[in-house]
Amino acid sequence: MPFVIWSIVQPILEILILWIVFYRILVFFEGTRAFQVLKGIGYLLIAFLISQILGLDTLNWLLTKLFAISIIALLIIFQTELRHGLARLGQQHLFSVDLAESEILAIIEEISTSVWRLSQNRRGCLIAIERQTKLKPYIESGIPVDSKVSAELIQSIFSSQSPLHDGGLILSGERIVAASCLFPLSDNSSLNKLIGTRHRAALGLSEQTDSAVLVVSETTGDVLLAVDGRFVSVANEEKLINHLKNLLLKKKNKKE
Amino acid sequence: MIKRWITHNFALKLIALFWAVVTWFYVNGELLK
Repeated sequence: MPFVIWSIVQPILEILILWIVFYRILVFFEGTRAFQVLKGIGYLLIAFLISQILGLDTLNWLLTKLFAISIIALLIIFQTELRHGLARLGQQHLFSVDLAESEILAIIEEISTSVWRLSQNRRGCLIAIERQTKLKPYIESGIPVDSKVSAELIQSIFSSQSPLHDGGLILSGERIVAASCLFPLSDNSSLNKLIGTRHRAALGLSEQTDSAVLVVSETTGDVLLAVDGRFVSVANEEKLINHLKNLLLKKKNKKE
Repeated sequence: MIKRWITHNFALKLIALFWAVVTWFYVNGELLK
């Protein structure tokens, strides 16, 4: 009898473990360039399975050889990702869940307070809020902070005496993940030639990812929000809160 | 809570489940019977 139960439980257990492992791999690579490669491998594997099922020997032989070579190629191409991945193993929850609405609202409050105070004091700042696309490559270019989002901390990071005030700040969930991050510069030719690097970086990141990027001009104190490669001018704190609510809460509602 | 857990990254969970099932069946020889 126990043998019969085990013969039922064993495949379920195996599939469950495989599921968790595959899911973690997908989450790890999601939003990075490596994810595209992973998708390509997925298509090749489907072709491989079909060739085996249908008995297409030549295609099967070719794909088998291709896989043998590609393993070595993948190890070389993803050297950095693999190193970071192994170092981070066990540091994350298996299936992390979204933030509650009240938590998102509290974060929005902290962000808008800090941005408005920075704007009043004419302190330039660049803040990227991660949405669906992971900002891992940009996080790695900066200095890890890993702290709860607080208006005071954001202001102190962008104070002129702070060694972290150059570059962008990245927020992910309820955490300030990294500061002094390098963002890609927009090469949009329609942009005013006088536009600064900070604004180009904000626009550049919003072109390449779906993140919401806040930028405060050092010279005028103007606040702009860059989303989907476009700037939205923000006139006051209330409008900023509304914009952020639309972006961050909409994203959550869409998922549900 | 369960709904939130399922809907979070639902597509990735589904893809992962697909490959987990395919891998298990392939390794156990059930796929090419």
